[in-house]
Amino acid sequence: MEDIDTQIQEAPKYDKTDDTIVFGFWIYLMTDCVLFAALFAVYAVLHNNTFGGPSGSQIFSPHYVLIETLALLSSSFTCGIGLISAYNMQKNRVIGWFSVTFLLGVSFVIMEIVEFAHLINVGNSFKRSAFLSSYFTLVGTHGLHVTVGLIGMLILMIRIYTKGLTKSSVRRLTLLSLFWHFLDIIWIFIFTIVYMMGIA
Amino acid sequence: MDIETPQIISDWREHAAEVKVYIVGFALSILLTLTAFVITIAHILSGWEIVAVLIFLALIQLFVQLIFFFHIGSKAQSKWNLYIFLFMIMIVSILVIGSLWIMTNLNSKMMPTTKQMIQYMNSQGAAL
Repeated sequence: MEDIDTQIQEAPKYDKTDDTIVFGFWIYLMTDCVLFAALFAVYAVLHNNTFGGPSGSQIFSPHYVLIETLALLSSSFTCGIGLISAYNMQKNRVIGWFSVTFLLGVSFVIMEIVEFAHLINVGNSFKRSAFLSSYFTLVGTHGLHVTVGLIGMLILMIRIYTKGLTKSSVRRLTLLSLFWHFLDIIWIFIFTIVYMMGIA
Repeated sequence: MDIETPQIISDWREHAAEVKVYIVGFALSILLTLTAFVITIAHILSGWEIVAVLIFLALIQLFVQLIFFFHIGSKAQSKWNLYIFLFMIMIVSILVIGSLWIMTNLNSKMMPTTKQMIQYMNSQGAAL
C-alpha cells in the first residue's frame, strides 16, 4: 500500500481518469453484479414455488418498502454530494454529508432486520419454501453489502476526522461512493422485481 | 499546496454544475420510484403489462443513475470502464435469460402432474 501511496503523491494532481485503483474497484463491482445476477435468476426461477406457504403479495408491505427505498436513494444522493465536497477539500462538509449517508444507511439496515425478524417470527423463515429461501438470500446478500459499506464508511470518517483529507482518503471515498451507488442500483432491481412484482 | 492533498476543483462553477447533476439524477430517481409504486398499488394494470411497465421503469432508472451518479460515458471516466460494463451486461444477460429459459422449459416439459403422467402413459400404451 505504501508503494502505491507514494506513487500517487508524486503525481502532480489527483486524476480520476488515470487511477488504476479506481479502475480495479470498478472491475470488482462488475463481478459483484454477476453475483447478484445469479441470485436474481434463482429468485426468478423459484418465486412461484411457495410450497403451500405465503406468496409475495401476502407478506410484503408496499409502504414499508417504499420508505426503505427512499432512505437508500437519499443516502446515495448525499454520498455523491459528500464526494464533491471531498474534491473541494471541505473536510467538515465531507464529514457532515457522510454522517447523513451513514444514518440513512443504518436506518435502511435496521428496517430490513425488523422486516426479516417479523417474517421469521410469524413462521415465514427461509426454511418455509423455496420462494422464501431465495428471497432471504437475495435481499440478505444486499443487506450484508450495505452493512459492510457502513463499516467502511465509519472507519473512513474516523480516518478523515483525525488525519484530514489526504490523497489516499479521497481515493477511498471515491471507491466507497462507487460501491454505495452500485448498491442503490441493485436495490432498484430488488424493489422492482421482488417487491413491486410480488405485490402486483 | 501540501503534496498530500489532491487537486482542488478551482472553478466554483464546475462545483455547482456537479452538484446540479446529482440533484437532477436524484429527482428523476425519486420520480421513477414513485411512479412504479403508484402503478403497483393502484392495480391499474395486471399480468404481463405491469411486469413490462415495471421492468421498463427500472431500466430507465438504471440509465439515470449510471449517467448522473456514475458519470458513465463522460470524459471523467475512461472508456475501459464502459467496455467492462458492457461485458458485464453480456454475461448477466446470458446468465439470467439462459437460466429462465432452461428452467421454464424444464418446468413445462419435465414436471407433469400425476394425472398428466398417467394420461401420457396410457396414450403411449394405446399406440403400441
